[in-house]
Amino acid sequence: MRLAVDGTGVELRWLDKSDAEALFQLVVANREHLLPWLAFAKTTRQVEDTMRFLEEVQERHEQGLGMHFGIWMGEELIGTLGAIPDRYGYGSYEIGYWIAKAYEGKGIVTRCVIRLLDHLFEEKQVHRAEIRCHADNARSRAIPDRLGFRLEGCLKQASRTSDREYGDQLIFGLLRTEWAAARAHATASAGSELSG
Amino acid sequence: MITLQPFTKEDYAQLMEWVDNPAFLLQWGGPRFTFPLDERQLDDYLSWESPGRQVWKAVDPTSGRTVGHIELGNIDPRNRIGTIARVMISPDARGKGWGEQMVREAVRYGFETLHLHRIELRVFDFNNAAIRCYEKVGFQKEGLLRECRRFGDEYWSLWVMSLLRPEWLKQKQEEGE
Repeated sequence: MRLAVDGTGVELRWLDKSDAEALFQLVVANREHLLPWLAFAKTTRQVEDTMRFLEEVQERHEQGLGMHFGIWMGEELIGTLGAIPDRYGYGSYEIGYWIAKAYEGKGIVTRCVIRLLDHLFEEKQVHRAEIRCHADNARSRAIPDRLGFRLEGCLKQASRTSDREYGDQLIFGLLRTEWAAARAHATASAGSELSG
Repeated sequence: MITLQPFTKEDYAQLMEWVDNPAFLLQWGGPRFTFPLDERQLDDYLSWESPGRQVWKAVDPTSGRTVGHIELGNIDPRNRIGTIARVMISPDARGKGWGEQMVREAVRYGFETLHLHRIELRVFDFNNAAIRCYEKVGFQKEGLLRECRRFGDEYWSLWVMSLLRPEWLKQKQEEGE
């Protein structure tokens, strides 16, 4: 599946095994950048590790148990964006993302998530979207903040960073019934940010 | 004091009797079960694996009667987190404080025997008796997952509650003084 993301020159494409080398190299190049937040930054040591992940991804795609997109700038892979449904078919999806350091701060992830939410809420009629992130990860939490998600909770000491320090985990939720209003607000402010 | 004992096949019939309607099944068991509860589903329930997971019946030692059910599972050894789930007190044994005792014992096992750092649970927002019971044990509300479960045409919301090891130790110390 492919989703074009307006105003960014970016396209979202489902990852598959042919992306192993590009994804592995991207993780290696951004290892330090990702280490505090994402466990795979530490455990991805060779291209086979990435291949195993992509095999799981392909299985999920085939079984309808999730969507894992690469974020592509032309032919360059610059990040990933995933959406995984709850296991029991309640129509709730958890969204996760990361982008290469060189592409941070340009509003790309925000626009990609908007595009994904349009797909989830309008085409797939999903009822609820959820984003979880470390409370200290300011860039990550800025995304749900900007997109009108409600901060629903803060789980105390619920996750550990790679150096085994406990940190709080934030849970953000957004319902389909809230998306139209949230979207109008978010795209208005994203537009002014990008032109400014 | 209530005692926790392993929940086994001999206890199935009583549990199936307690869970007598679909709404209550979702409330007690979460989404993995379908009504009516049966032996096959309970066999499967007992087979879920996580390191140190416990499924208990709660027994009143005076009468020898089983008055409740509780699980400490979904153990995440990396983060030392466990989850209290599938909490129930027999319909004819409610209002006597068994629930609080049962949860306290499960919590003690989690911190003392499994050396957990954090114990969490999820409870539907309309289940006030359960929320009060968890608060008495020391759990605090951390967040409300809005409309995250569907029942028929309705969506239900879940509170996430937690109790951390340092909070529990402090509470134990204060009670000892």
